Amino acid sequence: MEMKKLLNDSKKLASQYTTWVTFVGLLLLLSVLTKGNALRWNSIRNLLIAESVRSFAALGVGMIIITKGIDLSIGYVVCLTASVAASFAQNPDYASAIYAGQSFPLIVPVVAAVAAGGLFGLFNGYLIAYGKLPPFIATLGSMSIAKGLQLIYTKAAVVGSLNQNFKNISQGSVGPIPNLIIYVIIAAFIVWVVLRHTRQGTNFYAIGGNAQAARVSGINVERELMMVYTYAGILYGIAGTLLASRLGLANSLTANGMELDAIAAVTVGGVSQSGGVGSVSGMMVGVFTMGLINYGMSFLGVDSYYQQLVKGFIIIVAVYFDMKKYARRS
Amino acid sequence: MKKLVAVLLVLALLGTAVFAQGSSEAKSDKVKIGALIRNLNEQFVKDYADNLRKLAAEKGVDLNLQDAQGDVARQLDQLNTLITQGYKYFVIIPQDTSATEQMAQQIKAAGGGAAFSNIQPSVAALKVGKDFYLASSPELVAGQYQAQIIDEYFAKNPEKAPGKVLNMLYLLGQLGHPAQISREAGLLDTLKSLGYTVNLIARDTADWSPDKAQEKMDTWLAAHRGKFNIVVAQNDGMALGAVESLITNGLVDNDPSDGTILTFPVIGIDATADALNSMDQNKLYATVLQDSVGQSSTAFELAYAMATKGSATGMTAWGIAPASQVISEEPANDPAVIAQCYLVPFKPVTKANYKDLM
Amino acid sequence: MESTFALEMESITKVFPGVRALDGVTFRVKPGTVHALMGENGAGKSTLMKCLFGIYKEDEGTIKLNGEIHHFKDSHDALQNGVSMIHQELSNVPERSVAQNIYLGREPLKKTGLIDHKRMNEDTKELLKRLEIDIKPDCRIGSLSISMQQTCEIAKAVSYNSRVVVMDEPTSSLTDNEVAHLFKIIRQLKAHNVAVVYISHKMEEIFAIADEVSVMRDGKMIGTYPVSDLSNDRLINLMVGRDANLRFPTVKSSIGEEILRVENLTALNSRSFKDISFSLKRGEILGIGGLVGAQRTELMEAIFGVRAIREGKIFIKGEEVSNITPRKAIEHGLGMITEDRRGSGIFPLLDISTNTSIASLKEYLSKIGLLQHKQLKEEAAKYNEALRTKTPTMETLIQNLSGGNQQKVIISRWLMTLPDILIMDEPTRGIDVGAKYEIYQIMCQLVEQGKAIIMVSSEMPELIGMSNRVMVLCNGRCTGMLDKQQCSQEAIMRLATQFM
Repeated sequence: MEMKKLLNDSKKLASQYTTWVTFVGLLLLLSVLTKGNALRWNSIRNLLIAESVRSFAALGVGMIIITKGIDLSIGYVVCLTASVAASFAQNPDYASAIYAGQSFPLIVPVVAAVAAGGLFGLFNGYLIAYGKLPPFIATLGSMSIAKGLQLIYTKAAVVGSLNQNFKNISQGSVGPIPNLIIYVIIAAFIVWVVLRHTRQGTNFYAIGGNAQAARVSGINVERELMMVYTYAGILYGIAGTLLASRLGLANSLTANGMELDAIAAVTVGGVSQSGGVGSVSGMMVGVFTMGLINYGMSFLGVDSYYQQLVKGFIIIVAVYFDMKKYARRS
Repeated sequence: MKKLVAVLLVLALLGTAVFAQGSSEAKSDKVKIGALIRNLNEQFVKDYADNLRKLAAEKGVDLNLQDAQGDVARQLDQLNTLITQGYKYFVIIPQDTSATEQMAQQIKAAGGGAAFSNIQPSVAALKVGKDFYLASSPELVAGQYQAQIIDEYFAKNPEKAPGKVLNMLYLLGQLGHPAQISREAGLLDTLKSLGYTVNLIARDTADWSPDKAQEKMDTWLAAHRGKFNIVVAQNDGMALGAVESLITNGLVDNDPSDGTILTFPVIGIDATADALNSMDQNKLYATVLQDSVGQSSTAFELAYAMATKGSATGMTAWGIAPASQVISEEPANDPAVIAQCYLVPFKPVTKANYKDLM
Repeated sequence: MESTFALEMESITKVFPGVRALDGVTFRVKPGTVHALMGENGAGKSTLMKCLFGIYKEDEGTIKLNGEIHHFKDSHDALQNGVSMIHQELSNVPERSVAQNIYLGREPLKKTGLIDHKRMNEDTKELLKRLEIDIKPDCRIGSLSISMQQTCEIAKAVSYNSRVVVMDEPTSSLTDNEVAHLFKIIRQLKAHNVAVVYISHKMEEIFAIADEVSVMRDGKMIGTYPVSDLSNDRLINLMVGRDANLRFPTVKSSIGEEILRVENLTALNSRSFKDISFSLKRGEILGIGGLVGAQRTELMEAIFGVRAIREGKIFIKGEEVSNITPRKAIEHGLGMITEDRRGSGIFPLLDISTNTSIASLKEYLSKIGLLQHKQLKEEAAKYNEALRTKTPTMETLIQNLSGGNQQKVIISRWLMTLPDILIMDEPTRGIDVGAKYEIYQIMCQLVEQGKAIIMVSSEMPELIGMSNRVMVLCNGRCTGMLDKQQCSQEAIMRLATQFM
């Protein structure tokens, strides 16, 4: 009986910390394979920068998945918000600028992109909460709408030649710490406070865990769902701004496929597709685990075809554990 | 416990996969060249990369080739990674023109240089330093050659375009792609200057993909049958998709005397093997050769020269000398950087010369 | 070797998380007898049968048929081995003929591989004749009466050469004449040396048809008795296990002023409840009785604002509350423990603490609107301690608790909102007897504190034992209000079936 209990406990521990075990394991593996080269500050800095924008998308969709939703529109919404931000930050003397000859204060591109993202989120949330559309379908539709709006707004052209002030938003750094990393830390902290320390955060978990019970418990399920998609949209808006600022451009290919990266990352990070489970730390570890895989493989010069393969396996394994952990009582 | 074991297994699997690739890492004194390639899923890019690998093997160069899979952000990350690993000289097919200046600045900061192919770098990118080169074929030219091929065809068959009016179905590459924009401009401007009136009966993207092109054509043929006299595609894949659609929809006159058994000529770009085959069967009318071997060889020789001799300024690479006269397309339109531009020619591929490439 | 028993289930134990559903149950049936299996709801009868048919896998114990050990993968496997079940719900294909239904999935074939309809119909005719059933084999089964359809199912069981036939409440939808016909068929089966396991709550049927009776209670087998040794009272006593009046604590509250009044409440859905009026006073437990489909749950949900109403008024503490939503209901001091604990009660993946506090988070916010985790946790723990919820820690996920403890957490949740009125829909469903008694005690304490409870229950003894008054619904209408003195099983039953 004692043995059995011990075994059970270690089992529980391993499954509870799958995310961390994977992350630390990969880190060790990579440092061995590169004889420590991959873990120098420069490399880590590269990794953090590379994953920074995705972190915003992951935080957004992470909250949504906690409410048992999904968001397929991330990639194109980020693409749209990046284009909106970029359009207000082009050098005024650039002939093919969207607002050629006009220059805007730095706050305009940021506010415009965040507003665009937030509105899209609100739209998604309204369809899902009040229109009762399944999240998969609603965001599938809005994904295409975002893509269409982006093409119409930019006339399918690259929005380039961005001014240096705007680029500095994400290309600058404070001491050795890149600005992007600071933004991620702030965003993660705020999301953590919302999820962990506000009534609304608890409501998100409750809705994801059992929407009917949440309703009976006096939670305004519709309003909270609409809010979670709006929050996510705002995060996508920030992601778009930072991406445009970092790349110095936005085009119709920007951020394509980011929804899959973000969903995969938070899933690896233990945010359960069955709803009601997940933490900010898990989401961030998930993002950096996926980042580590990307980064490690490209550091080692692994063929991109194999990279896809390995990533696919990792996602499947992570979800397998997730299902084992939470679906055993169905 | 089972789970822990499973996790370890995955890690081990991962380890071996990575190790198999990584174990060849123990090269030390070899010349190191990084290659940043935008998307290996495209035939041209793949041919380009294959030739790079071949050249690197011949010269014993440590070539680290990274596939950005169509993502600007990923390409920047890969650049960072390679710089951290000590790579200084690069052959680059950028994902986007607008990001090239930033890339050039990072490489310069690391004390290196780069040659850009296929997607044009910006003038500003070349202005970052003397060690940044264009080794490419201007996309405008591809469009211009398409226009010339069209002009030749209708000069021989004037009854098919009365009053020099072209009613065109135009299949575009991915919207916003630099090649999509430049090829279109080159085509339409040249046709106009040759005295044609162009009506774009239909113009839409098929994302470089043959099957999407075929679908699009099927739809267009249902809507616009008999209202057009020319089909143009921005690459061969889409052109071949269009050819299939025309054949299944019975738009065939079985008269190869005009160079094609189709009722209307279809024109592509790239001169892939499939395209040349189709020309051989009198289906596809013509295409334009984008020279993957020429571009990659030129870029490689420039990077190799920089890595071995410290500079490539003024050299002749793959038999091509630096340009001396400005052309209308960026970045070779700026006299300040014209000496850094190696213009690899496009070639129109028609009935007259296609057999040379087969 | 011929065994003396057609079916032997030896020391069957089945444990669900937190509940010992079967505890070493031994059940033996002789061939050629009708063996009644008796017990209250939740005694473990259906779990035992599910183990027999392979729907559940028993944790311990063996199952023997004619002395040979068997374990069936599923009910089809059981059927192949001569064990069949006649369900409460019919499971035939209504659009096909009687013969086609009986030979479904094993139609006799001609040499060409096509179905031999002629042989199938003749075999069926033979079979029906043998059982003295007067039905034509080619008649569409959906056109027959329910009892005739049931008879066909029995014929099907016989056609498989079933040695054991289990009948689960076979007479629940039959008229007296039909029951008589069914019994005739059962006697036919007996004559063919078939063992019949007969599950029913109807005492008179047991005494009419059964040879032996096995009684189960709380997952245990109490005993097997020849029916001739039993009296009606003795049988009830065996099933209940103690005198009925000891199963419930005494409610010692004093009735106060009116706290809830419902006037002419009618559901938006026209097939649901209509024109319901009642009032509830402090210190009172109002029982709501009725059969399945009487719309009791729907009425409770409407009062709590989960379900839409067409007309009617709800007054809480004298104040009319219009357009009620769960949030408004909670603000006015209502709480609701739902019938479907899994579906609308627990948050399975959240911990006990959160499950307890979820409806009262509003009261535990700091000045800047953040949750005060420490107070929340302490308060949640306090309520759970008071109800003696058994849990390792407050951080344990609620899904890891037994049904009874989950129920206590949900009661804690509502007590934490400091309600004046608690709606409890089937508060003891799926809970061990011990935990049931504790929940009754909690209910007593609450009304003694001057709160009021509305309790919906399908268990008659519970309704009668706990309620000050019982309102009975039938088909969405109120058919009567019984006070403590008038309250009896017969009275409730009569009102519950008034419109049937």
